[in-house]
Amino acid sequence: MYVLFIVLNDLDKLKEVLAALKSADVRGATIIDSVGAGAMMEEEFLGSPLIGGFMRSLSSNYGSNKTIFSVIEREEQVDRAMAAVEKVLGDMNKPGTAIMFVLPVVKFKGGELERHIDRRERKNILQKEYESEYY
Amino acid sequence: MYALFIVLNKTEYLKEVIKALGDIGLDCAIMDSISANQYVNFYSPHTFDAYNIPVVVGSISMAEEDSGVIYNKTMIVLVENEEKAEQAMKAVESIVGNMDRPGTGIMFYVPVVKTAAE
Repeated sequence: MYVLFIVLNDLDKLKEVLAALKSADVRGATIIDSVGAGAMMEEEFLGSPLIGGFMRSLSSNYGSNKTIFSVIEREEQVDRAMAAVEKVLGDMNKPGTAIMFVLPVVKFKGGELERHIDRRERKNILQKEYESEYY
Repeated sequence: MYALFIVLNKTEYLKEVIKALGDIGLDCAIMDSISANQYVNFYSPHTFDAYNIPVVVGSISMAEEDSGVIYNKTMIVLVENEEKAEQAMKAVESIVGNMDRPGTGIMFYVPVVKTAAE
């Protein structure tokens, strides 16, 4: 069991990334609003007290990005999801695209993934009963 | 050391969950978040057929009851060991009910390499 984190800088690509995740059979994801530390340091104007506030209200996204995370069952599915995201974003070595990383999950509970696994197990049990001699 | 992530869809239970975690001696960080499903269904009901339209969610004010988007909360809790993590997960489930049901949330914990707190 793994959890995939994607910090996405290009907000226009968010829906495409979500679509790519969905097509790679990722079950559900959570999105958090976040801000890149680099962007915050760079824009000294926007950081200043009064003017910065006005400037921020003018520019729509002040270095903001989205952090997406999702629990994924198997490693090959993680690889598939990462490949799908990379295909959408292009070269991820360029500055200001995205970063993704995977952590091992010790245990999880709930969410769409658990329901999916439950359904699959139930189907397997039914299938076994069906194939057994009692039928 | 483990980091327990709790995505709480039923935000009305937030205070009770914090209290329950506090009772077993745990502190947490809380963030506003949104379910990817909610996001996509609300802005294009026919799922992904119009996803090149610029995304405006960030500029919509957060957590308005009538905005139609359901915001949830993501909590991060640091726990010393697995028993404590299990205990915390049980405590959360005792309040929000069984997490198997759709629309309640998800929780999981990941190993933490190093901490420097408290």
